[in-house]
Amino acid sequence: MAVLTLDTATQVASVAVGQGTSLLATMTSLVPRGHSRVLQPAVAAVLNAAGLQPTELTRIVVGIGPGSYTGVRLAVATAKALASALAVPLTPVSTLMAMAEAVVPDAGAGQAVLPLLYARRKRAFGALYLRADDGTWQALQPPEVRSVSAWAALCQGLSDEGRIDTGGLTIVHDFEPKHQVLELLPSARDLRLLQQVASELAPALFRLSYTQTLPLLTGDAVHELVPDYALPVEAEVRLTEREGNQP
Amino acid sequence: MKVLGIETSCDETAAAVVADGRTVISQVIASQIATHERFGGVVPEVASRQHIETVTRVVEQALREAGMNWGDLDGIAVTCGPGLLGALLVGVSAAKGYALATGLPLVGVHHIAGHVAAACLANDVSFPALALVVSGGHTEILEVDALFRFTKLGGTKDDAAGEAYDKVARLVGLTYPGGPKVDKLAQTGNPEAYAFPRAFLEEDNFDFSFSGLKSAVANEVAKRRQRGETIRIADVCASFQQAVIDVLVEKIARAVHTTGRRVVVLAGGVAANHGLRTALAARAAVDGFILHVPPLTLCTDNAAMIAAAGTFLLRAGVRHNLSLNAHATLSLGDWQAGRV
Ligand SMILES: [Zn+2]
Repeated sequence: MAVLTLDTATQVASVAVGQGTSLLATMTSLVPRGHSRVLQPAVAAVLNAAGLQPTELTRIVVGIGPGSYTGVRLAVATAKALASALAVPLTPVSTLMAMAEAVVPDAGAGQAVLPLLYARRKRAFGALYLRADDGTWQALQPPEVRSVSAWAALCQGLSDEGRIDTGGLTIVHDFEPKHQVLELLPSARDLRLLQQVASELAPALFRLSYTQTLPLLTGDAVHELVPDYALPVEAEVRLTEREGNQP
Repeated sequence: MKVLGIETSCDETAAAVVADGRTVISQVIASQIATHERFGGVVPEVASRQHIETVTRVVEQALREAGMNWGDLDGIAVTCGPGLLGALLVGVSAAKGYALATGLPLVGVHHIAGHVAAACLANDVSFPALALVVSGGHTEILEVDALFRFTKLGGTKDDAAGEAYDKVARLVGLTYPGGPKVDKLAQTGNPEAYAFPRAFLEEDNFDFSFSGLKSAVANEVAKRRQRGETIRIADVCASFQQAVIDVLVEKIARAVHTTGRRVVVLAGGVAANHGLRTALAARAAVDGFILHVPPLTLCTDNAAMIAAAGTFLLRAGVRHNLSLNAHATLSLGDWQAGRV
């Protein structure tokens, strides 16, 4: 049971290989423009470090975003090729769930995490996860794009309903001061930058492969896998608007 | 030697298996033209999204149609530039994934080298040769040596010939992709109806310029429309096309004369142009050079040409490692120097 994980959806590229529940080797890079160049050499390196041949892999796990940045496709294209050439199942995982697992690896039941990735115009790709009693992550809000203020409102609402404890909320994000959205974030006990937990992403993806019930894609389903873009192409939006305006 | 080719530089997702750089064993092309027609041109993000949806399926189909497994192949060739960056990255990432999984040698192919190799898929081309590359993005005269290395003798200073075709097409109201429609209309028009300029014909080099020609066509059309005259679109197309062809034919004939090379390969999307093929063949007969044109089906972007070019490179000992990257702009020089 040798599992390879890869994710290039954010500024962090991460690769891990492990067997069963043992993590064997990881690689992390924080140079977004370098993802394309380092991803496959990193896969070769972790396999080499683990003493494994690519043909010994039994499963590929890939972070599918969300993200609109072109990087989201690098790992997905590579993973699809690997899975189809090796004829092994392919497991898509939300990069946001990997971020949640990375930021609070030993979270107890009831821990809520809000991972956010900046999506321009004061919006963010995000999701709200809650650690269940069985140790898995439950999505109280599945991945989508909202304004940062709407994410804050969502957290407040769930807190008012008593479904999450905002005092115990953990937020992990990739916002930069120039985006001017830091002040819009909901109040949280724990606020962390993605870069601070970068090296935890690879182990997190690997852990999710055996703690979380995730799809195992084979055959045509491997070909059909696409990244979770969460946002439509702007040209398509404009075209639909134009067509909608026609009499 | 059997090589798998992958091409995703623009709006076709393509894979092919080619034997010995000569025989197309299988080829699959998923065209996105219908998708981009709605936008009136290629939208890069839309193209990238389609490529990733299609790329592994197209590769699997190419292998299946060839009746082959990965173990039957000797290498993987992929377009690494120039082209749309996001689109190229899908093909390059997938190709690296396949190379990693199978251990097959990987080679990144310059898109233009691929177009030149297309002519070898039907003809017994012996290098060294000259190549006239004419496409939406390129108008170049290249010298190709026996090891499939390229030296640029000249190129366009502004618009590529194919670009001028598309602009003229839009000007006379033909929809995207307009180039082939101009060629078709030109066959019924009078090439002497309008006197459009032939740029750079008098200069002693192998460079081209088509922006003046494009403006001349625009001015002529505007002038006649203003006067309320009816414009025969077929005549505009024929006169424009004749101006392009005169320059291309004259320049490549000069290159033959200057370099002493007797073999000319026509390459690129505009190599499918009927008028250009006819005029070049006529000039080849008069000047006594050998002209090789790709089959019509291999003029536009395809993966068989990438596999063929990849075969020549692998034979010459070229291969790339897993850090191969995609490049939106990539000169033949940088590519040949291994700066990929
Ligand atoms: Zn092309």
